Amino acid sequence: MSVAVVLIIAIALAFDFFNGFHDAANSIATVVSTRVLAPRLAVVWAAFFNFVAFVIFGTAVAATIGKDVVHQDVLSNSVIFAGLVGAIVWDVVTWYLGLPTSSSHALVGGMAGAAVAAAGWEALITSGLRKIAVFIVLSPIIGVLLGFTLMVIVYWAFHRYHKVDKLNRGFRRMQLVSAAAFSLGHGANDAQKTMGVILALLIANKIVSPTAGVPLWVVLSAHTAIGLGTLFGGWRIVHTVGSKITKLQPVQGMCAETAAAAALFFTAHAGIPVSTTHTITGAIVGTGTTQRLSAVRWGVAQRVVWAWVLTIPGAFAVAWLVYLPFKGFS
Amino acid sequence: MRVGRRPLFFAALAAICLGLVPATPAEFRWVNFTMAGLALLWAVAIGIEEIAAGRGPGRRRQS
Repeated sequence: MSVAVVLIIAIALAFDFFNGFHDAANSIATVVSTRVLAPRLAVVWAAFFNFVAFVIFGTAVAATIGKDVVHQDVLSNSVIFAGLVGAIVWDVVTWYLGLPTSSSHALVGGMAGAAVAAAGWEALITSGLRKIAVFIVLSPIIGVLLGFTLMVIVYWAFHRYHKVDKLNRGFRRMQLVSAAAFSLGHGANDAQKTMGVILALLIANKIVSPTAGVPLWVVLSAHTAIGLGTLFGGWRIVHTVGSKITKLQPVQGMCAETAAAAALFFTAHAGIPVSTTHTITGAIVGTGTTQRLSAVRWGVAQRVVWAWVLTIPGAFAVAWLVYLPFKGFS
Repeated sequence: MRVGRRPLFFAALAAICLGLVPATPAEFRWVNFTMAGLALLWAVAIGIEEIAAGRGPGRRRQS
């Protein structure tokens, strides 16, 4: 394995760490905002379930990122490097601005931008990108609808139950389970994106064959990186998602996390890289909508949507620029 | 008679899901149809509830 490959793997794992730093905190946003767990404990809780996700889920999302975004023959060390740098720069900028954007889509945008800079638009696999693009829109909608539906079911089941304090205690306990489920879904989906990049790198350098699965050391290192990233931060994002979009009760937190976890389990199984941020934000909006539409702070939600819209073009442009000097060399 | 904003919100979600059907890969189109169905169900149910409870904007204006 060359020094360049080791360096790019380190950058990929750094991206995964930033993903944890930037995105994974969403896993515990609702637990923190409903005061079920103290922030420190909640972060440890999420990091643990981020890590153990590899035991339960396969690597279908990694295969999509590694093989369905950019044609294999275009992938090179410089393309993957530029793609990663584009995604990291975009993530850092949006983290600084406190926007819950998507690291996943930044990665797709970055890889696409670098590949286009290297070999033109033909480098892109349109069928793979189309699947990702459709689910950029569908994943928050799934979150809204499942979150709303779950809230209605819970309200209907408990509407005659008058011991509100006891009920809230029960929902608080259940929120620990739902937060764990969401963290599992997050670990499964987001850690796999880094695995996909490393897989593409290993294939490009002929270290593994194009038909091979993801090596175990890649799986373990990606989950470790995202778990550590979760441990170290993302509080600005937690604050935006957890308390600014709508004010949450324990029951809403539980329903939002369960709905988002269900969506993430499905997409991880189907190999669709979606944004965990999009999904949990949609689910929170869905639970807030059971009260009334004005319970949702649409100004913040609108800012979030703009961040989503800009993520792929933004990361694409940065990666394209980063690749240009390499083009001069080649 | 006018309905409130929530039925329209869910109807809009259904429209987006159905609008994305042509772009969605064939093996995942069931997701669009399922979500559109769920959204329409809630649009209709909330619409009926608002009319029955007299909470729609039109009814409020009458009272």
